[in-house]
Amino acid sequence: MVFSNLFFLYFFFPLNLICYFFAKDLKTKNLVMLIFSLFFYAWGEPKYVFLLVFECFADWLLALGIEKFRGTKKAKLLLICACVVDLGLIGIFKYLTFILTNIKAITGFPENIVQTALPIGISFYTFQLLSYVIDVYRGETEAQKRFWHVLLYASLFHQCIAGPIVRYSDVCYEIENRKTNLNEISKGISRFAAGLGKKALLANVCGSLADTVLLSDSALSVAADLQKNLAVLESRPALGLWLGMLFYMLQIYLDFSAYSDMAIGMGQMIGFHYKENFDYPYCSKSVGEFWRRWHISLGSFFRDYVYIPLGGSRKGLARTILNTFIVWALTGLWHGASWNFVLWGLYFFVFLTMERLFLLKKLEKAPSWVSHVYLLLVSFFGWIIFRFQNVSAGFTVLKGMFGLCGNGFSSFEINTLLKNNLVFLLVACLACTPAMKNLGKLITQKARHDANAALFNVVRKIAVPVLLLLFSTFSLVGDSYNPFLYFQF
Amino acid sequence: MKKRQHSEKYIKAVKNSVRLYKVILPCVFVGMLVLGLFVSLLLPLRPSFSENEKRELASFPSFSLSSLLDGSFFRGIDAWFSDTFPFREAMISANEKIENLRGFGDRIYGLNNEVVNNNIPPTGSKNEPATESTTEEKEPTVPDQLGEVVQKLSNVVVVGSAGYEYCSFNQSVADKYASVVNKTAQRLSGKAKVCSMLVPTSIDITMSDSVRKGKNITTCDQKAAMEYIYGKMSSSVTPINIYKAMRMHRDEYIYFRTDHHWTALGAYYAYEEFARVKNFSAITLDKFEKKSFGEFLGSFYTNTNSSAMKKNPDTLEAYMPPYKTKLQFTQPDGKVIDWYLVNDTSSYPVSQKYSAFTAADNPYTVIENLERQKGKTCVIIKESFANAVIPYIVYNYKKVYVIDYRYYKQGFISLAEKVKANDVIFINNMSAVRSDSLIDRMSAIAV
Repeated sequence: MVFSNLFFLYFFFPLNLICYFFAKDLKTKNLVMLIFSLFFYAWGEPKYVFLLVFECFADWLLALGIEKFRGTKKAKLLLICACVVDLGLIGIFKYLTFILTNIKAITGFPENIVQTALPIGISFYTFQLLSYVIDVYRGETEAQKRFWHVLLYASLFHQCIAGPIVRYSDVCYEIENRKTNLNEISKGISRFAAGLGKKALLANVCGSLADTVLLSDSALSVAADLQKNLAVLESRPALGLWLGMLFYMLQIYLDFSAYSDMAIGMGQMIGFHYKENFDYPYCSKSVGEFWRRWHISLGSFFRDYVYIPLGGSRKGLARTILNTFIVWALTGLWHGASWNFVLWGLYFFVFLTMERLFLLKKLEKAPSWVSHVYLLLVSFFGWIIFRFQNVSAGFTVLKGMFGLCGNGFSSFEINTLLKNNLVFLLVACLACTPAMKNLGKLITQKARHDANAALFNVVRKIAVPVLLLLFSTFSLVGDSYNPFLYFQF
Repeated sequence: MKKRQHSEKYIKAVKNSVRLYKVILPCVFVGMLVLGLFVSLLLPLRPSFSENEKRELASFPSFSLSSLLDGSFFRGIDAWFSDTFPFREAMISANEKIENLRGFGDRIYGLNNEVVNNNIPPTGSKNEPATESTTEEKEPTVPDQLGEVVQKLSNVVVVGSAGYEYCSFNQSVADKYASVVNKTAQRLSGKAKVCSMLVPTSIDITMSDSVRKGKNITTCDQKAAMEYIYGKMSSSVTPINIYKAMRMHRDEYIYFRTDHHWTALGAYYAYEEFARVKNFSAITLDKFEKKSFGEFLGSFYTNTNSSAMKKNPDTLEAYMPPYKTKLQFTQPDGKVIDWYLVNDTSSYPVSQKYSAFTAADNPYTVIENLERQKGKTCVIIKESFANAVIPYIVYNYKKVYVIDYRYYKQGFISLAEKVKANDVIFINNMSAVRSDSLIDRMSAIAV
């Protein structure tokens, strides 16, 4: 199940809220959340819910052991055990097919490659559990005595399948002691509605426009149609490819940050405070800054559990560069079991290293629009690597952008597409900046001194979330419009 | 300007409302969710069929242990829940209105995902289209469509309030189609004559040159494609090339704007050409009574939901045959039904008016011309474009067997032998003869 889904919005979520607010004490409330979360997970992965429970159980037990034997070698051994279990499971379910395919390509062995299905959210909850065990080992947090509290932490449907990667230490207090009030609930609702609107009204549209021009992932993954699809991409005019990639760049931010918004909003409604996961990354002025503002919970995970343990930047330049290389290869690989993701991670490694060596100094001296353009271009071309698992498709698009496929600059169809979506494009770009947030702040500020503005502010703060919910519902229902094209035979 | 003074009471009221905000928002928002929960559980409110989309909506999945374990049971509930959401139609049209705000009154849903192949090889065949007339007549022009609101979606472009389907040329499918026709002619050699009518689609006929050529629309040259296919046909097949005839009448109402089909008038011009090539005496149009079956919003409208089309719908005009006929069609379930050759569809839903002709698309239809004591028999292998032209063709035959190869399950060559057909007529539009799956279907029953 995803949040931007009618069954979630008008069945699961209201039912969850009703049960939650009628539950009399926190223990019952937690039980409600656990049952709903397991059901939520099982809805998408009926079998793998047991994998989730098993992984939680193993880490709960190991963490208790680590605490018991704190300071001894046994603790270290148990920590290694936990890493083997967690990384082993994610290795089998996410990377085994990829690894075997590569081994086969080199050695010709094994003949038959096991196809494993990727359990939803395994990358997120595995990292959460891993951070929990390591934090216990480091003594940064106490081990949780109750198994079902660990299970609740890892499976909580707010963040279990699409992040943010919440640290145990950020929520352990709130699992057992949390209160909420109407003000928090209202704020949570606004945040949730903003995320929902971002996803249903903007990201979905960007996605379908990007797929229109660049062909969908599923179309491009059919090996038999590859030649035909490459020919289609070759024939797309340059302007179309730039537009398509721009829509993809918007989609991936709006989509991902929308999930985080909804998770943070739902958490706030019941008294959980998850950390921010996105901070308008496209407004950054360097790649380093971009990665401090994009998927913050993942970046900080790799910083705290890989980069710093490896020595970070304290062991000389060569070691720093090596550490950066390892972190970015892993960051790339985390996004998917395919070489293009590794390449995408290393692409950022190159820019980060250049920034560390000389580029950042130059950027700081240059006018700020130069660094903005620099960052936007770097991330734009990065998304080409990210979008196309098939490298030759990505390369075709890149060539076509500069008219090197004999594809021409534009066409009647592309001009029409651009005109048809010009207003939408502006709104989507605006949604990647803090403009709306700042406007809201401005109105709130004015409302302190002006009764009219105050009234307007109240109406706005009620009407915007309500309208976003309403329009998103229309849009989600509209997505099911699927005429039977009898003339397509 | 003097600032308006607010009374203390007013300011207090505002302050209260600010306090009320944190009560009102949760009440309204959560209230909406809970109301949605309540309404969505009122099963009678859930629609089960969509008139606009011409399809059954998803139904509640049946339960089994395996469907539970592999997740398909839950996915099925998901699909059912959203596909049959209460007040679905109203919400879809509200969504349309929001979508119209995305750009300047225009909308786009997709691009042609076929490479348009305009390097159509000349076949250099001995079989020159028989219709090519020697005198160069001047084609009429159609009104300039430049400056009209232009929309394009999936493979349909909408200019003003007229939709046009994009076309592409697929050489291997074209070859396959020609070989099915050739095989039929060879098998029936000495028994029946085979002819083939390829129907161009509106994008090459009625679209104005300022858009079609001036804007360099990326669609294939159907004239060249037709000539290629006719060139691939053996000398025993009679090509009925109606391209020129359609072009000569392009300023008339020969194609619908909101539907991919041609009108009864367009089909008549094709019939005229058919009769000329076959040396039949054509019945003239003035013998028919012209009738209007009201407003029509066809497949282009269904596909695009274009508001321009809705404001300016088509009219379904029909020409009632002056001759008595008996029509029987067989449904896919085997049921045989008596029907009319041209049926008054005035009371039909606005999207279904084209079913006026030849009882729409059925696997197997038999028409008898009751005015003739004796006469020829023909078998027509067709898709829906032929429906509009069959009422005229019936005039020249005693018996007409109509096979819709998309639904018919038996062999049509053996049928032609069994009914001792004099003619076998293939009628297909240019969008059909590029579809691999469709021509495969036809090929499979060419026995």
